[in-house]
Amino acid sequence: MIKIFLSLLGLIVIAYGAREWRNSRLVSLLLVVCSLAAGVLVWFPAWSDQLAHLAGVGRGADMILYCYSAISFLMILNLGLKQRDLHQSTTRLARYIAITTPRLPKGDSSGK
Amino acid sequence: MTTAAVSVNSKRVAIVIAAYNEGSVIADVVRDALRLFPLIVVVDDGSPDDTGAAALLGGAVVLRHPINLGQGAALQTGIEYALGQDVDFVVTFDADGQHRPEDVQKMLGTLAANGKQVALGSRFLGETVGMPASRRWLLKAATVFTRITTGLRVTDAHNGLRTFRRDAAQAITIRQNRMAHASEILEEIGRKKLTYCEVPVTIRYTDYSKAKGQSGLGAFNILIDLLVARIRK
Repeated sequence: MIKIFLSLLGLIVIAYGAREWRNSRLVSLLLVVCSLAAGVLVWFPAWSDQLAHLAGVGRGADMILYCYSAISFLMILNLGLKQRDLHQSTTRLARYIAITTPRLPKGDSSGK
Repeated sequence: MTTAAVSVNSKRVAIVIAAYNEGSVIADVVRDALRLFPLIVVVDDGSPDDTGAAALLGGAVVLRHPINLGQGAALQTGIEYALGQDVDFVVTFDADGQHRPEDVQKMLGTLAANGKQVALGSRFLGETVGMPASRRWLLKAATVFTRITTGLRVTDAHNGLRTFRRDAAQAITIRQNRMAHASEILEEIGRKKLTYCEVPVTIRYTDYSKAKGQSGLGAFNILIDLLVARIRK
């Protein structure tokens, strides 16, 4: 049961990652790859032990935890990038207001 | 190179100054620039003090951001406004009194003589008055970094005194709102293959300008901004 639940969560993250392709290819790709890797390890836990052993992590459970940490980090990074986009929209708005309402020095009527 | 023989009509030049909390000095800076150039555009970047009113009193056209966005954003606003006016050259100029309007004349003369699109001021080819040693090393490090990342052979990467021919000002878009815009402008020059030259200028450091200048932490923030911009691509 828990495997199906985790797999569904993984699919949501993959869908989210695919949607982010247009905004940041790096973040999108890493989200999909990390989620797929985590999904594989959920269904084949024995592999996680082998992989963990190869990577020098120790236990497969630790490996899954690391995947989770990596995905969390990427999502935070993505939120930061989204915030940057929002800031750019604010900048455009502020710029429009500034340019359309210039204050001209006395005696100057040349501004738009 | 002799540039004195080639002159540019000062009425065809816009001086763009980004200002935040510069109420105590901006009027004098504007008046000083007005001696040589009739169109001074001050972008008040959401200052809580009287920067805008002082700049207007000094004789500048004042644009005001309703909120503080950063020097890069303010310069882009000023450049866009200037391009809407009847000018051939757009100059970026610092608000803290570090720059000399006479150097702008020299840069314009150089561009008129050599036909290049951008003139970048260089304090390391020219002169500095009262520059702290720590600032010198920070700027040298920034220049090395910029030479590596942009491929441009510049000697002064973070000099706010720049002169753009109209076509160059139109080609460049500053997206870095904060201080990373200086590196971004150089990246744009390299990417758009704009022709450029450096012109020796004099930078005057005062206690006021030193207090407003970049710190080591500021340099770190610039690096982060540039890195995030690359991830976004």
